[in-house]
Amino acid sequence: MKNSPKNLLLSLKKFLGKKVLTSNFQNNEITLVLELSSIKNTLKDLRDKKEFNFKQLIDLCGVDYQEYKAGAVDEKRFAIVYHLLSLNNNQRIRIRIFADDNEFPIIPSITDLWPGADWYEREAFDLFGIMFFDHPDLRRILTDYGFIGHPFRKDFPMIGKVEVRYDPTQNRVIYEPVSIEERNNVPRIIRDEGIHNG
Amino acid sequence: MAEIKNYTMNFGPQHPAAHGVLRLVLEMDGEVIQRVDPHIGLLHRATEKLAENRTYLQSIPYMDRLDYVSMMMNEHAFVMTIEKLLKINVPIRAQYIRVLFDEITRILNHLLWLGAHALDVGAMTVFLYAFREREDLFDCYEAVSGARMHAAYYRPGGVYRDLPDRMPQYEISKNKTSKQIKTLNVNRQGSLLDFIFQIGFLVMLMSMKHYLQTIEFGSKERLVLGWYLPRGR
Repeated sequence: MKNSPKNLLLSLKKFLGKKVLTSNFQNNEITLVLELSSIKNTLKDLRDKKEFNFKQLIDLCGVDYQEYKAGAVDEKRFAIVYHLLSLNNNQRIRIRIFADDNEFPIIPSITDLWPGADWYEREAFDLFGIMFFDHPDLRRILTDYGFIGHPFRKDFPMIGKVEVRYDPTQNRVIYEPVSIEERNNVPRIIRDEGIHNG
Repeated sequence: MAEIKNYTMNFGPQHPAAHGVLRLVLEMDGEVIQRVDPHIGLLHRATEKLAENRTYLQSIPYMDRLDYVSMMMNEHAFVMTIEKLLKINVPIRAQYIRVLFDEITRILNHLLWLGAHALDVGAMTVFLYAFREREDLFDCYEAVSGARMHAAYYRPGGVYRDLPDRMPQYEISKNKTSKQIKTLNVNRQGSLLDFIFQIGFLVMLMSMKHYLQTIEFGSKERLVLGWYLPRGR
């Protein structure tokens, strides 16, 4: 079949050549890990070239690999994942790129290729602290006004850092350090497995 | 030509057409929205973060609450993902049960938007009718899972348990006489599937208005059809 994902993977590998760091084919889904330096031109080609025609950006999100080093490239911590859809060819791909600097991850913005990426990039910035070069308006989008930290990073505590209450003496809502302690909700009988230890 | 400038408009946080407290600051050019600045407040509930620290089974009830008008469909997407990753084969009966309850959920969802939409454009009655029909479907939820909305019924590999053989029935209380109880329990004599068939059959009859207006009903049918019949029948 001409449009089969396997054929697409072959032509993608042929077209991208050395830009593909690793590729994965599972459950009929294609995942490519691409080089950061040329990502914008690559995405533009995938969008505009007739044989690929990935006109739609389905999703863009951040990933933190701090506790899953085996899945990362060169111990890099932050990645961005793009999901693309080609309606003409009825095909989908998943593209992952890793940011070079673990302390200050920065990735080129693709808002000029897909305007819809705007809010997704703001979300990834808000939740993971990944910066997007050339983004027109990189502000927080999901968290509270004046929020500090990036909640989806693995080192951000699950209970958060501040809590909110109304203070009748000051007649206003105030922020205080959290009063609760982090607890493990996983049943003891299966705690030793995976990340649920402790 | 008159000079027309963009103007900004506040949408929400309380707006009769927005069923959720989301504030949007819109930059309008006439009726065309040029830019939007969303103020989401505390609507993001970090389900992803919570699921990272829990087992698969513990995460299922969170899925009910993502879109709280299509509870079981969210669960379905979640358990299907796990099945795909772990390469689990689901028994054919469980697949049928899930699709059946997805459809029940879809009808629940449609009844909600239909009623709420009618409410927004100024009609109260549609909302009440829609919510009356939702009750029967919530009873189906309750019969299989024990919960009327947030069921947590689907599991990776199937469902929590098989469909019940007997539909739960109303009992006499100080609010309801035995006669009322008898009417309420007419459709609940058999199994859950009988109940679904009977309420579905009623809906079909309701849509056949002409049929209802010409046919003569006996006392037993009149009892079953009850308030579904057109006025005066």
